[in-house]
Amino acid sequence: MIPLAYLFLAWLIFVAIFVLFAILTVTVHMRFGVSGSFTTVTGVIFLIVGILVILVSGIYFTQVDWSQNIGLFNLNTFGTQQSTSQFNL
Amino acid sequence: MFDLQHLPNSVPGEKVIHFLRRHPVTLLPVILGYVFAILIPVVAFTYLFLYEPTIVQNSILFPVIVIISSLMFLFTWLILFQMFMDYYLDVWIVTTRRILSIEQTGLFNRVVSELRLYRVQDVTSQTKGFLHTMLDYGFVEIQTAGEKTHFVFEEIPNPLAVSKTILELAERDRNEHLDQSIEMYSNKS
Repeated sequence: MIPLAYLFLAWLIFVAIFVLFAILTVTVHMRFGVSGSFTTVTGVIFLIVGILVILVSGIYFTQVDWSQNIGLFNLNTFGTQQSTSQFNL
Repeated sequence: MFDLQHLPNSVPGEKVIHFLRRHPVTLLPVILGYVFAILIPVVAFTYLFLYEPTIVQNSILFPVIVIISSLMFLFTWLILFQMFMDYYLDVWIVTTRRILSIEQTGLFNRVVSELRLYRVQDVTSQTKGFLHTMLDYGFVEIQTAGEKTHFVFEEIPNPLAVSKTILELAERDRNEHLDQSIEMYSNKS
């Protein structure tokens, strides 16, 4: 059994890695791209879409009960509410 | 950002003749990647909401799906943008005095090379394959006098016209350079 919260933690770590690389990528793009609106617009679109996906996922995650467990070997546990004392002390 | 009006180490009186990137058709895999990156999540989530409401209402499975799909989308988005950047930041500039080659490899590798036109010896244009011939794009290889290194413009549009222009500009620059050298030599003596 894996607590669902661990997956959320993994999501946060990967999002932090994405943000780091996104900032580096846009910095290189803006610094070495030919001056003009196209360079700026493409960089901004890349950032806006990334931020939107993180925001939408984040807003959905606020409604999730993270105190549940995932049964790895028994797929039938998906769908059953399994709040455990581990997270409900 | 770098400005075409203020090129690095600019030579007085030089004008930009060609500003070259790879042919836009080379961007096709990236464009297709963007289309799939946007379409797949839209289609998948629409299908789930319309035909599999039990999965959407599942308080464990659906968050797992959202976690995995959002991460997959974000990293696909990042990789596709870096592929686009690899296309966008590789440029070759031909001016009346020199050739500039700016190539970006990955995030942290950038090579800027410069070649004075009077040193150009051979220019070869090459189109190979069906797509190159049909869409008129290919390679231009520039060989310099007395050096092993050479410049290669990769998959640029109209390679034949570009190579012809470079040869003409090189000839003109060589004559001007020769005149300057004779003038300098006669002034010294």
